Amino acid sequence: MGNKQTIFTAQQLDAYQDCTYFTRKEILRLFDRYRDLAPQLVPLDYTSHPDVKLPYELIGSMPELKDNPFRQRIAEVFSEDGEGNMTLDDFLDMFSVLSEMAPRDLKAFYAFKIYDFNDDDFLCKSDLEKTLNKLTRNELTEDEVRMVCEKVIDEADLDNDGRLSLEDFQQMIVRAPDFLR
Amino acid sequence: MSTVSESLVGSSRSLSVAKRHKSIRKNSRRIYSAYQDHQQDSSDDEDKEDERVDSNDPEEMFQNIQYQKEIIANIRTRPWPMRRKLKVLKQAREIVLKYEGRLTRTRGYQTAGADLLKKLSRVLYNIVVLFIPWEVRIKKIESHFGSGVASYFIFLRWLFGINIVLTIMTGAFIVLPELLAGAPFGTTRSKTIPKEHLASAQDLDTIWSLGGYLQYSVLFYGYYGRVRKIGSAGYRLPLAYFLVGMAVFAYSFIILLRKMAKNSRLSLASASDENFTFCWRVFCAWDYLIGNLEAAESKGAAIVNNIREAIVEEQEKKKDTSLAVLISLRILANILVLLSLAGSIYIIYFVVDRSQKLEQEKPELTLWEKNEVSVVVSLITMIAPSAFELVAQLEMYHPRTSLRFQLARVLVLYLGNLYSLIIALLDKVNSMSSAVPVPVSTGNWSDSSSFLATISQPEVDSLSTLVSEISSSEHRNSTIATIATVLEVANSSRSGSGALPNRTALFEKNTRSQQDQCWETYVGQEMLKLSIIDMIFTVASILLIDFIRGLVVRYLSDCCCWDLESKFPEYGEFKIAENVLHLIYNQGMIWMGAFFSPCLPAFNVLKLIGLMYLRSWAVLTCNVPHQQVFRASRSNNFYLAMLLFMLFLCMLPTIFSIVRYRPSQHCGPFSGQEKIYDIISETVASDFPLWFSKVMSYVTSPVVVLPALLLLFMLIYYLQAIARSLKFTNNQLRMQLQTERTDDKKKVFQMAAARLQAPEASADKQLDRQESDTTSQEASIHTPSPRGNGSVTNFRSPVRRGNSIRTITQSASRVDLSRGSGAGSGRSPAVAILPKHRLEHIPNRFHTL
Repeated sequence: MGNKQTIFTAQQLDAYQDCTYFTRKEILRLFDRYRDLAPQLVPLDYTSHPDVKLPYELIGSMPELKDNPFRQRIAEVFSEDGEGNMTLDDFLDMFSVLSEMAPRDLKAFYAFKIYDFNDDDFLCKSDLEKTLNKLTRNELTEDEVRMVCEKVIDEADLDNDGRLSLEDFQQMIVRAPDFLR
Repeated sequence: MSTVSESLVGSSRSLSVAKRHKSIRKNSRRIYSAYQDHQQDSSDDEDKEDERVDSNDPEEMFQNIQYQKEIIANIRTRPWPMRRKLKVLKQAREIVLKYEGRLTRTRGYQTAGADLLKKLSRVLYNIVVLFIPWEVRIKKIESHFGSGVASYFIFLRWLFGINIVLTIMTGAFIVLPELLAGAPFGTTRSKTIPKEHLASAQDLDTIWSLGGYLQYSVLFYGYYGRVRKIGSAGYRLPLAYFLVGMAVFAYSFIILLRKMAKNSRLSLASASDENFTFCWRVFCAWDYLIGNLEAAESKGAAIVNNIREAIVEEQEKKKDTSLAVLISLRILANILVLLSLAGSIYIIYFVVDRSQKLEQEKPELTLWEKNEVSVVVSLITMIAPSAFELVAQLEMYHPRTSLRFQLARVLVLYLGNLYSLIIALLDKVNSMSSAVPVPVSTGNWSDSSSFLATISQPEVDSLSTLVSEISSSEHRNSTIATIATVLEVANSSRSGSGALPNRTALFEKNTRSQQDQCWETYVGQEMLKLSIIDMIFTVASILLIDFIRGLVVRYLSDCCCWDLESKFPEYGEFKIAENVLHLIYNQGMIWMGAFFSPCLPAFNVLKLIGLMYLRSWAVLTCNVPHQQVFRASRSNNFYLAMLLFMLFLCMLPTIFSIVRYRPSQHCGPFSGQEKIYDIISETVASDFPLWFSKVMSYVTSPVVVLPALLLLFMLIYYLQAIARSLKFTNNQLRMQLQTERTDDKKKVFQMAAARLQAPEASADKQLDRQESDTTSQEASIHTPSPRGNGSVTNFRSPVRRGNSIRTITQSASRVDLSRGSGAGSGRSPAVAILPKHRLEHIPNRFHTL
């Protein structure tokens, strides 16, 4: 296994493999992607844990996220500072969760966080409206949006408190036929 | 959350290992509630101090290590930031390393071995991943067009894998032995090209229609020798041929069913009858793999359409529109579809019939006449789906329903095509095999005369060899009579009396064609031809319909009076459903012909490789994603079910022809047998010990078969009953969950009321306990799914551990849970303040949008 790469130590790579759903090669490739975003900022040596953060503007311009209506939220949720500025660790974390190997529950948890715009641990109407508007690029009328929100809460809200908790959300989303991303 | 967890980790760093251990346990307990109760992190961390679990009890230590290992194994499923994961991982590893040495030596070895195994498996996995073909290519497509389009390519790759295995099976057990140890080309009659064809055997024309050298090669059934054992090792080729032919079907069935079972295990959706239409449309609509502006735009438009449709549907759910026009339109559409189906079937039958007649009448056929069958079939498979699509617009169904209708119709069309083709072919086979004994009443006379004719110089010298040959050949009729008639015939032909030479001359032609007409080879040729023509048409359609159109649209749109890109020709759409169906159809052809042409799977492998590259190139360069994507995630069994259906239906003709028809007498591994499957009973009778055949005869007698069948039916019934009862329990549990939730809510209300009235600690505690009980109950009901990973250990772990920890974790968990569920219900005042506080930050955060 030991060949020319000197970016990480073997222990680091091993630890990353334990913490993510990636193989060694994929981790290195992800590092390359990360570094390509800002070659002048990211050092080629990560053995000493340098403290580097890439600003959201760079992260959001990646082709994977560029066209995603929720890119800002995704970056915020996965970054440790909550502002969308990411370290390499956050970066790996994000891709690990979004990768196809990650289990549904983990994805559901993060999806909940992504849709929970105001961080209050519930999906309330305002969250839903925001989600819808982002998803449809404000093409639906207000009446339509309101109706869809009502239907959503009506369908998934098991405890009738008018908003969706994490459990409601998981209950609903795990059954979705194409919640695989 | 992040700052809190950092402080947690930072503080714990300075503390002892035991402390770390405990904090880890706390963390792990919080797995899915981590998000909710992080507010309490700091306070919790402060109160759990100072008991050191540095006990030297090996059992406890072992437990501890096991626990840490569990953490290491599951760490990737935790929703923590990477920094925390790394930290926890490191700590866990350190603990394991530190304590492992203190344990007994055997345990140390065990764990070392396990470690090594883990490392090896990881290396192996890293290597295996390298060898998955087209991974990068598929990922790239996925990133451009979303998972729907990628599912087509994944399906293609999967089929490719199946075909590789089929190729290996046929190649290793049939083709290679025949090539290595079988009689070489030109030694026996079935392996030589007849003289009059030899001149044209190398013409491109002949090769193209798979005649000439190709017809007498390992490509087809007819080439394989009938010698029971070949080579010095005595390889039983005919037996192998039969067994491999069956194994191809068996393998396909097994692999398909396994895949389906795995998929249905993956998708929990199958059992649920709940309806979350709107939720799914909102939360699961976006395909997170899309990374291309065009794809993103069309996806966005599709989502809007989708939601609007759902709204309209919801509004019109009650009023059932029974418009006479609509109904009559739909009836008309169905009639049209039926007509075109019948028409296509008739055309195929007609064409096959015509080609047979042409073959009999004309000595030389043109290129078109040789290929018209496969060309017509391919044309129909290309054109008819588009026609169906046009017809479907008449019906005005909901897009999803219409797509299903479309798929069903196309599938029926494909099946109809294949079936009418094979039936027409079998018809010909029928006439071929019945043509043999027709002219004269006694069968052996015609047989012997055919022998005469084929040898073609009935001289006196050859008479003895002739006789021996006939007697060695395995005709049912008494050999003496045969020899007598043969002698008679030979005599008369030598003496040159008037009547018989004429007849033999007449037979000459008949038998010549009969010798060529090895019907198995013929069927194999037709299937291979069909497959080739199908490939050519696919390539042509990709180039013409997608590529040229894309070029025209892109470069001529400037100098045209209307917008080419958005109005009429547009860019070609990638129609996932139809393309997948085409793959299924293609695979069906392979299954249908594999028995008669052992190299067909190998050809299909090449075809699939080519298709992979061409399609992916075309998709990336000149297609836009389909607007109405038929959601086919990886765990969808729809396509697989169709494939299974196809496999079953494609197996039937092969089985039928094996059971019904007599194998050709002059070619192939089974020549001379009454039925193809006789090879099995023959082998059992001659090559196995006596007792075995006796046992076999008992086993296959109705006395055993009938009870076995009965047993199978009973088993099926039993399993079905179990499935039904499980479904029932499932429903019960769901109801219970619902009621418990409402109970829980009532309790929360009570609690809130109690707090308002008397904020004493004692009452509070009681309620807390009650509540934690219910929550734990709920959780234990709630976690049959892998979600339980953390929470299960959470509720079980205290039991296994030493006493001192046990009490603490219990109390901690109680606090934790009560707060968590308090936050969950949103009634606890302490938490309720929080959102307000947070709301202040939101506006500036969303300004950047």
